Amino acid sequence: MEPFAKFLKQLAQQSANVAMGGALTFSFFMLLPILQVITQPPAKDLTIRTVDVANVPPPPPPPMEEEEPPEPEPEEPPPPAVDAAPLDLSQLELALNPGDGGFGGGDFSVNIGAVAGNGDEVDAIFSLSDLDQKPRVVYQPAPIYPPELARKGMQGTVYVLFLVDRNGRTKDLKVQKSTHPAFNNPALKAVKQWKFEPGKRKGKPVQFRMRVPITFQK
Amino acid sequence: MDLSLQEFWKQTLTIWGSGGWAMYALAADAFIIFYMGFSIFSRIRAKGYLYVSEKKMKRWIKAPEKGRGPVGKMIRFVMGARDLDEIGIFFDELNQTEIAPVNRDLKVMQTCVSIAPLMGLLGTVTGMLSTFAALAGGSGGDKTMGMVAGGISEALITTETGLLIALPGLIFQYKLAREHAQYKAFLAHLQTVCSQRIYKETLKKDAA
Repeated sequence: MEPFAKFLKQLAQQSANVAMGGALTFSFFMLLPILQVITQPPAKDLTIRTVDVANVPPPPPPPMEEEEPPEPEPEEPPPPAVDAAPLDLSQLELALNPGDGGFGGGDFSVNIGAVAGNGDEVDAIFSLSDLDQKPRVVYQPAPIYPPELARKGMQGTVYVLFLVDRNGRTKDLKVQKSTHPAFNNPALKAVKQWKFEPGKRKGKPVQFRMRVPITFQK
Repeated sequence: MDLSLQEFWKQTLTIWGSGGWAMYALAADAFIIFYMGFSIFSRIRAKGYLYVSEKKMKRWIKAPEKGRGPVGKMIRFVMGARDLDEIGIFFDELNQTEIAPVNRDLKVMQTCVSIAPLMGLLGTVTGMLSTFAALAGGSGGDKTMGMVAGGISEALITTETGLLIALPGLIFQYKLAREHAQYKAFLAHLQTVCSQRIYKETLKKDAA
């Protein structure tokens, strides 16, 4: 009987070990969902209420009015964004299609075909992102720092907006923004001399528009 | 209450299932850790050495037949020696039967504890792999998003589980190692006292 009792005792001990091990394993695994529940934000208390719908007959239609409602006032165009706002294509056409007359000449010669998208693209102007092949600078002389300003130690940046035509020449230079007007002329003079290898779209060189910051500093 | 418990259990099963196959491995690892831990703990505590005071021990050494419990049995075993050499051999044997198995089990437990975070890491890697596979092969619809989310939750849950098991396992194992060291110290002390006793007896015998 002695060995049997010993065996029983051992068996009890082993099963107790197994049970404790299993229980601890289970409890630690239970920690996972409990942790998730604890870290969850508390659910909002939502009460559901039933609402009776009143069946109100629709109001009779208002009597026809003869007079037309006054035309809504045309909205003021938003002030042009100064920074990096890409110009509208048609707007650029206005600026660009003047023939030889400069800005004054062709103010209203809108190229409808280009705007509508079915005209040929040869004369259209593209922004950099529309180009298949990015333009490359061929010749880019640095602007001349006006000596009197250099002596004063003034620094500044001029944002020049310009077009590059199909030959790679810059034209229609405009100062978009500048920190000091004295820098405008030297910047424009420099940009005028720049030469590009024009960007390409569908294999053909096209005009495109660029904006370049030119910084004067010692 | 019953419904919310059921809901909670359902959620639990989902969370466990989201870990993938690594969860089975982690569960097995955790079971081995805690089973080993408890078996080592009960084996050391079953010796009852904590209840044998210094005085009691000396009394039992003087009269080994009075000794009770496992410690009394051990004392009877070693006090059968006739001289110092013999008691040294007896104590070596005692160490072999008492200390070595516990040492071995402690090592197994230690290995399992250090494996747990690594297994979690493995689950993380497989989860990330399935995430990327879903991203690469999916078309970006709801199904793909489901697969991606599943992979990520597998990745995170397994790591969490691995750490969650390793932390208590480490503490448990440390506690057991301490207990075992105490037991070893007790045995060493017992050896010293028994050897002194035998030495004194041999001196008396020589004098007589």
